[in-house]
Amino acid sequence: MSAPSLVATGLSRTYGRTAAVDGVSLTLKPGEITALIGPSGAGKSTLLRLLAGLERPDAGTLRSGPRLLASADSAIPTEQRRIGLIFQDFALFPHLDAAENIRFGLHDLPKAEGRARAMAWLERIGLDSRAAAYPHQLSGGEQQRIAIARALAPGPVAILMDEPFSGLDPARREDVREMALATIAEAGIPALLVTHDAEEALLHADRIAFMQGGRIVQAGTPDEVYRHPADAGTAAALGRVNRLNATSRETGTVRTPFGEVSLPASGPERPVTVIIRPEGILIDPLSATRAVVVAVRPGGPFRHVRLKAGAAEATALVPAPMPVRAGDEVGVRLDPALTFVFERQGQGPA
Amino acid sequence: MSGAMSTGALVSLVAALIAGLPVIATVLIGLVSGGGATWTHITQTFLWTYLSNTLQVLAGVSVLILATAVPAAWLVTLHEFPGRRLFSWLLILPLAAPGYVLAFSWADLLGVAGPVQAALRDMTGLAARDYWFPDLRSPAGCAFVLAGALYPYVYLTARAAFTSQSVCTLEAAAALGASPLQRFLRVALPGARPAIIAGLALALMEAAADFGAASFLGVQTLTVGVFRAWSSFADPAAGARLAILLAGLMLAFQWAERSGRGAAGYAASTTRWRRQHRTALSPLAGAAASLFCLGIFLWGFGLPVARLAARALEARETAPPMLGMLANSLVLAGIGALAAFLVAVPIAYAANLKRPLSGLARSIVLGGYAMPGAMLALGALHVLNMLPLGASGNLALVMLVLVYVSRFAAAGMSPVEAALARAPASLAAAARSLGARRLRRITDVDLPIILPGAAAAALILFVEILKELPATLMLRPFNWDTLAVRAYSYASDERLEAAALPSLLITLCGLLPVILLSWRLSTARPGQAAS
Repeated sequence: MSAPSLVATGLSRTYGRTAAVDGVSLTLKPGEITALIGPSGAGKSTLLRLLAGLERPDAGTLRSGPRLLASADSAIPTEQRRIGLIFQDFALFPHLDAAENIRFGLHDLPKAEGRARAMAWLERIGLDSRAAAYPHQLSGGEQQRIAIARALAPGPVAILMDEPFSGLDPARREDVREMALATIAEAGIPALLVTHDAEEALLHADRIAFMQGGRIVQAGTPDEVYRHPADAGTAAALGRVNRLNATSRETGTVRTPFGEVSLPASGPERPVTVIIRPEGILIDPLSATRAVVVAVRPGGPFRHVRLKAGAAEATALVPAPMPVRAGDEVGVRLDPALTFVFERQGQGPA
Repeated sequence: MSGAMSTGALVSLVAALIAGLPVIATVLIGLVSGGGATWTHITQTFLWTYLSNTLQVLAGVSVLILATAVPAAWLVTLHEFPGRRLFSWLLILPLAAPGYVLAFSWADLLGVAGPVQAALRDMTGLAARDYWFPDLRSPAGCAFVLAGALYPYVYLTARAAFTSQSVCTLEAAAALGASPLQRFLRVALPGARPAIIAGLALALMEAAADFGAASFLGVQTLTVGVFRAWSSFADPAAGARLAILLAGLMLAFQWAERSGRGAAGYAASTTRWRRQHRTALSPLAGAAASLFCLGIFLWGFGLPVARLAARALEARETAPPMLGMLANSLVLAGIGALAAFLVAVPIAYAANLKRPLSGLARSIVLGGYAMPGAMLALGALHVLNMLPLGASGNLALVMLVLVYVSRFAAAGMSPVEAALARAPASLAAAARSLGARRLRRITDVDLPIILPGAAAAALILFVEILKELPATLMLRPFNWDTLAVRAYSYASDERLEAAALPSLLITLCGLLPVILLSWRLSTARPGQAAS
C-alpha cells in the first residue's frame, strides 16, 4: 500500500499586512518524517494549521495525491481531511478514558468493532492495561502514546505533530520519542514534525525544512542541511556555531585567525561571514596557525575547548583523549567541510 | 461558518442585554428624571450619613478581616497544630450564612436580654443600666457581623496564594537567615498581597451591597438609603442617584479585585509544585493557633448558627407555617437559577471561543454582579411602572427573575469558564482532525467538558438566589413571601424565635455549595490547577 504525498504549492497566509506563511512549497512523502525547524514566529505553526485545515490559505494549493485539499477558493474542512494531529499538550479528551479517546475517530464503525480496534492499538503501544485510565491518571509519556494511537487509529492520509515531545520529562523523552516515531514511520504516511530542537530534527527526521520569515529557506536531508546550509541562519539553527567576520581575497581564499579556507571561485574582495561548526576547528600540532587555550570543559566523549587567536575567540569540540590544558598554545586548522562562508548582508554562499 | 459565528455572538449579546437592562434602567432614571425635592432633601440631610456609615462599615470590615483571615490562612497552610485539618474547612462555613442571618443571631446573642449580657449581670450583680456594653446597632457592630460573614473570601484567596507560593522562596529566605516571622512578613505576605487584595475587594463589594444586616441593625448605609428612597420617600430617582454613587464604589472594588487577581496569577505561576512542608508548632503555640481558629469559626458561624438552632427548637410548637414560603423560595430560586444559567452558559462558551462581541457581553454580565440588588430592583420597578399594565403580580415576578439574572449570571459564568479553561485549547482542533463535525463536537466534547462546571453553576445560582433579600423584598408580589423575606420581617419585628427557622433553612441550603467548594479544594491537584 502506498499512501499519496502531501504537496503544498505556493501556500500563503496573511494576517493584516504580515505574511505568516509566504509562498511555501513543500512535499511530504509517505513514510518520511519531515522536520520543520526555525525560530519562533517563523510561521511553522501557521503552516501546520494550513496543512491541517485549521486555517485557510490566501493563495496556493494543498493536495493529497490527486485530491485537492485547499486553495484560495475552496477548502475541505479539517474534519473531512483525514489528517492526524498531535499537539504539544496532547489534547486528550479529559472526560474519556484511554480506550474511548482512541475510539473517538472510529465513530463510523459499530461500537464493538471500534472498541476492538482501540484495544488493538492500546496493545500495540503497550498500554493495554491502562485502557480504562483517564488522561489525568496517565503519565506524560503514556498520554503521548495515546495521542499518537488516537491520531493513527482512523487511518489518516498524513500526520502532523506540533512540538510533540517538548512537554515530556527530559529523562523519558528519548525512549518515548523513539517509540512514537517508529510507530509513525510504520504507518507509511507523510509525517511533519514541527520542532525547535535541532538535535531532534537531525537525529529523527528523514528530511529537514528550515523556515524563516514565512518562507522555507532550505529543505533537504539532515546531512545536506547540516553540511551545506543555505545561509548563516540555517547553519546556526542546526547547532552551535562560531561566527567570525572576515574578508575574502581575490585569490579565492578567506583567512581567519583559526585557519584558512578556499572558496569555490575567486572574485573581488568583499566582506564575508564565516560560520565554523565547533567540530570544524581541528587541533593540529603541525599547523602554523596558533591559538591559546582559554578554558577546557569536559563534555563526555568530546571536550569543549575555548580558543583565542588574536582578538577572536571560538569554541572547538575536541575528542576527549587529546591532552589540552588551559594556557597551552596549540596549532589549529579548519575543516573545509564544516566551515561555511557567506557574503555579509548578501544571500547564498559566496 | 461566519453565519454560525454571528449566531453565537448574537445569542451572547442578547443574553447580556437582558442581564444589563435593570442597570441601564436605573442609570437612566437617576440621570434623566432625578433632581426633585427629595433629592435635595436627601443630599442635605442623609447623604453625608449614608457615606460616612458606609465607609465606617467598610473600614471596620477590612481591619477585622485582615486581622483574622490572613493569619488563619497562614497558620492552616504552613503549620501543623491540633485540629488543623478540621479548621481548614470549618473556616469556610460562614459562606453558607447570609450576613442578615448572622446579624439576627448576633443581635439576639448580644442584646440586653441575650445570654451574654444576662451572664454578665449574673456574674457582676449589676443591673442592665449600670454598665457599658458594645452596641451592635452601630457601624462598628455592623462591621463585626459582616466581617464574620465575609472573611472567608480573604481566607480562601490568601490560602490559595500561600499554597501556590513556591516553598523554595521560603526556604531560600530561611537559608538567608530570616526568622519565621520575618519570612511571613517579608516573603509570604508580599507574595500573597495581590491575592489578599482581590479577596478583600470581593468581601467589600458584598459588604457595601449588603442590605439586610445594615438595615436590621439600623445602620444607614448607601444601600439602605437606596431602599429607603424607594420605600420611605417614594422617590426612585433619588434612590437611583444614590445607587449610581454606590455602583461607582462597587465597580472600583471590582476593578481592584480583577487587577489583584491578575497579579496573583503571575505570582502563583510556579512551574514546579512541591508538597508543602508544614512546620510543627510547639504545644503552646499550637494551642494558641487552635484557639485563634476556633474563635474565628465561632464568630462567623458556630455561635450564631447554634443560637438560631436553639431558638428554632424552643419555638418549634409556636412556629408559624413554613410550607408556603418554602415553596415560594424553591420555585423562585429554581426559575431564577435556570434563567441565569441560560444567560451565563452561552456567554461563557462564546467568550471561550473568543467570538466577536463575547468580551463585551461578558463585561456586561460581570458589571451586573457588581450592582447591589436594591439598585437593580429599583431599575426593574421603573421599567414596570413605564409599562401600561402597571406592577401586576406576575409581571413583577418576571422582573424579579430578570433582576436575579442580572445580579447573579456572573456567578454562574465562572464555574463554566473554569471548566472550559481546564480543557486543553487544542481539543477542538483534535476533534476536528478526528473527523468530528460541529454537532458531534458539541455533544461529545464541549458538553461533557462543561457539565461539571455547569452543575456547580446551577447549584451556586440556586443558593445565591435563595439567599437574596433586597430585590426580592422590593419586587415580590403582595403575599409572595420567601424564606429570606419572612426571616427579615420577623426579625425586624423582634420575633427572632419565628425568624430562626427560615434563617436556619437558608443557611442549610447555603451549606451545599460550600461543601462542594471544600470538596473541590481538597481534591484539586495543584499541579493541574494552573494549566
